[in-house]
Amino acid sequence: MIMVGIAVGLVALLVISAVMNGLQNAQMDQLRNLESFDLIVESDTLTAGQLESIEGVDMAFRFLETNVLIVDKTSETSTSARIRAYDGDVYNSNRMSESLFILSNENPVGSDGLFISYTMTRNLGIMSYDDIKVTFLKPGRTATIVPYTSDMAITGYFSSRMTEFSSSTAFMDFNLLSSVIGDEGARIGIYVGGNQNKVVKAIEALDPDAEVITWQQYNNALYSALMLEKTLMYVFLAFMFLIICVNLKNSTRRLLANKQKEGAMLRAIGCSRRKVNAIFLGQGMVICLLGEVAGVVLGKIVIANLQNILALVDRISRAVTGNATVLTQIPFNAAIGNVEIAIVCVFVFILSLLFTSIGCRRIYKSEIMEVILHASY
Amino acid sequence: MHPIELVSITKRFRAAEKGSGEITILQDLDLVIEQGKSTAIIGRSGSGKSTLLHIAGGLDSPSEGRVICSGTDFATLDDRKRSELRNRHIGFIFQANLLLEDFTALENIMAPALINGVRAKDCRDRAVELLERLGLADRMNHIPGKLSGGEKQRVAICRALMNRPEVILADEPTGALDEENASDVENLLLDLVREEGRSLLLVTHNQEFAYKCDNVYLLRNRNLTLEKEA
Repeated sequence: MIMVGIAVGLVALLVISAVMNGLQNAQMDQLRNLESFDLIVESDTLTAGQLESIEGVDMAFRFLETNVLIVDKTSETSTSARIRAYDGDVYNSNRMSESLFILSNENPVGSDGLFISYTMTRNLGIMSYDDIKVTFLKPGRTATIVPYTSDMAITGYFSSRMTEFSSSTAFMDFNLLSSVIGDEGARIGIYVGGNQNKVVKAIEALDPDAEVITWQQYNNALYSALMLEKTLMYVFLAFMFLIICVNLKNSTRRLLANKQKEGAMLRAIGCSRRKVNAIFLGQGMVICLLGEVAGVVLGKIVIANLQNILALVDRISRAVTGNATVLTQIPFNAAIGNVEIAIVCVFVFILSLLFTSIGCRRIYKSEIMEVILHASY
Repeated sequence: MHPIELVSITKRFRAAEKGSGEITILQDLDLVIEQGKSTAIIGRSGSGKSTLLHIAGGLDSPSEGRVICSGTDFATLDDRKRSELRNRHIGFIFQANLLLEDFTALENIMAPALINGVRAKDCRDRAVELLERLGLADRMNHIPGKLSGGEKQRVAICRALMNRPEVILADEPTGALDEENASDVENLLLDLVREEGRSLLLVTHNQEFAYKCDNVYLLRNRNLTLEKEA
């Protein structure tokens, strides 16, 4: 029973960690694919081509960003938005297309068009391919910035899983935007395939004046919140396992109470208190290790088949209640690293051993004579 | 040097009821277990026979007095050394045979020698020899749950003799057995003790069994009276 308790506790810890990791990774992937890329580089001298040749860089591309006011010419409704402008091929890159779902046009960025999300069309009340007015703020000849309004067409629609991003961002061709606001503010976005730190160092070596912003820095508030969430999750999981350990301690005490006779006998035939304690602790260790092995194997099986399990629960829920659950609606890959598994196992092992040794105290303190007399009557 | 010598032993227990003070079970008692001789202690239930036996074996400590085992005072030893002394010089047989339930008869018998650090093969040879002498060769791989009461007690006797101790301490070894089995175990125990030249301290209600021993003491009024001397 003790072994089963440890195994079940460990499965719960591993699966919950894997699910939380999966959900966080999915969120971070969205951020890195769409919002901040892995790195953003501001440099007067470096080009995207130069950065792409650095080992570990999958893709480097220039982009421009500006805030605009978009007005639907038919309904006169307006919304403020951020426009991002890339060169055409960036939209179809692997990482971008993982998170940016192009809904209406395979080549969404026309020479005079705006590529917007369905969320924004709903906000503006725009019908398909309505004409719109876009007001930019561009550098002026006398003033620092002046408004510039241009008629534009909607050339495509997209959606993403980041509602805030979708409702506030529209896309445009790089050359079109740079013809309006100039390309002085252009930066370079980078998707990293290798070691991010090495890539940062390589960029800094190429241009010591370059400013390199990592995705963690760019999304500092959210990243910190996710890390805090993860830390708190582990604290709560630790509490959860403490509850399991209290049960473990009580089970051990009950088990060892039954083994007092055995302990007394071992002492009568020449085992010292310490040796008897070591024997029972050794047994506890073996039980704990077997429980951990079973827990890790079972946990890995559950994690590997989690989507199938959730789908099954969803099917059962539909069959019983007639309603679908949300279990399968948020795509994520449950994942847990070997280091995390090792940390959890060491934590569980230490706690199990601690509580087993607390359970052993009764045997350590018991008087052999009393136990033997008790066993005789 | 005697295998066990009890000198001025007094044993008091705290009374179960609060504020009732202490109860004296044994008072200024002396006893010498002589080499190669069997000694029986008889007495009424609750007279302190088992307590005396446990004190003699170092399982319990006297309130006053000294227990000298093979020339060493138990009181001068820490738990580890006391356990070692017990392992090498004393063999115990209890009424409740106290065998390890998850181990076979053979493994139970080997246990004291393994604790003593004897090689597993030597332990096995000695255990098999004892099992054969007690007619349990065909039961060596049975766990205690599969043995009868008499067989379990014979396994316990083998275990007590395993390390060739100087003295065997037996607490009602036939108390839980029927008459036939009890008689078998009595004779086996006494024969083995004599054959192997060991000393025996026996605590029993059974007068017939007790009087088969060389010396018989009656424990009454917290002290011993010699009833029979060889």
